[in-house]
Amino acid sequence: MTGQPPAAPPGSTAGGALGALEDKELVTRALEGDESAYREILERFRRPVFSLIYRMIGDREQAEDLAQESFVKAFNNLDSYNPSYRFSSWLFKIANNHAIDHLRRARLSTVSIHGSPHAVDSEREEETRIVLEAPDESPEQEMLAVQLGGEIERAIARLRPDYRTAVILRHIENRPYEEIAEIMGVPIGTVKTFLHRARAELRDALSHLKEEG
Amino acid sequence: MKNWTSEGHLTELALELWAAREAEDHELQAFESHIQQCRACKAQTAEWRGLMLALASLRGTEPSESFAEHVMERVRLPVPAAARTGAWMPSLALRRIAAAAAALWSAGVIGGAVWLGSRVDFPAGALLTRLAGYASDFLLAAVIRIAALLHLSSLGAIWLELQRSVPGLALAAGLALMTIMSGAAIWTLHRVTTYQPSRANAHG
Ligand SMILES: [Zn+2]
Repeated sequence: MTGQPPAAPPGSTAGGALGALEDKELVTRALEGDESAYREILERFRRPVFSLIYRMIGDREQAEDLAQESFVKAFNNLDSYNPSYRFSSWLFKIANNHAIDHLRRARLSTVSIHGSPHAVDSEREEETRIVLEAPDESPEQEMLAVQLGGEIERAIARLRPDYRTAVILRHIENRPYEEIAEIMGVPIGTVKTFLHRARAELRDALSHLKEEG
Repeated sequence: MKNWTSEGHLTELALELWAAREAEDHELQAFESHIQQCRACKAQTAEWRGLMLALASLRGTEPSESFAEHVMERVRLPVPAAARTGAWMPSLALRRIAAAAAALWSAGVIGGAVWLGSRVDFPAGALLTRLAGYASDFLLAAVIRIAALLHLSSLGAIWLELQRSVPGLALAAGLALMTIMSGAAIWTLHRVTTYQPSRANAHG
């Protein structure tokens, strides 16, 4: 017992009382009519859900609307959530489907770019060495990463929607393959294929830009 | 181990998974040792590492400050148990019917008392005394009924707790409650309609 921080008792009025609960426990409380459980779910997921939709559709205001609608839909149908799946998967699935529906309605599904595959020569190797040589990020690497940030965002925006979903969930939300498969409703093998093809496109997009710069 | 090499070099997929750290540890170690020894493969890793670095620099985006409020405005919260404790009667319509029935019953009792009084040709004073007796009985009965109602509503609260833990119980208990209440009503009616004012007859 000693040395362990005291756990907040259930129902405690302390600010972080619900913060210690698992997502599924929060859902149970929400279904009992506990408003603070809804707010805690919002607190946990508003950023990732908004982020996913924003990157999927690329319009901040519409992303805000779609993300709010996703939460309203999820909350008003909370009794249809099957607890044998991760709650986050269920919520992301609603959000992603909402974004895809929006893209379909707006016929916005973007065209993917095709960087020409090319061999790496020693000069380009030299150019990229500063970023790529050391396994740990140095300040220079971080700076370069920031510069690359804008380019990678644009490259992600040009991926086809299912590749984009996979990349966002894997690399921004750090979701494991299994969860991405649950969210997208495809086998894990398909997720791997999506990610492989998406990353190949992204790599080519970034290489192309480096050649110009 | 899968076939991660082609013509003596790591495949594109192997290089990608190495950069993304998305293979088993022993596989990653095997990739690593090849890359350290092979200039061609090392050159290939550069682009993958650049991509992974760029991807790792991406951050989530915060929605607006009012995001949660806008969501909560449109959410239908399930009705909390506390708000339902007064609602042990099945519906507002039924409650209206029950109130109407109670009013009719009361009118019937008072009317009946007056009618009985007129039938037995009482002196006015004795009739008033008798009516006052009825009234006090009626008041006592009302007090008992109010107590019973309070009791029922507390039962209602206990009931809601049960209902949350045992699904399907609501209907059965609702039916049982209705049966008991109907029984009590029929019994009361029976008592009223078979009432014999024996003392009044003896007096007459
Ligand atoms: Zn090699």
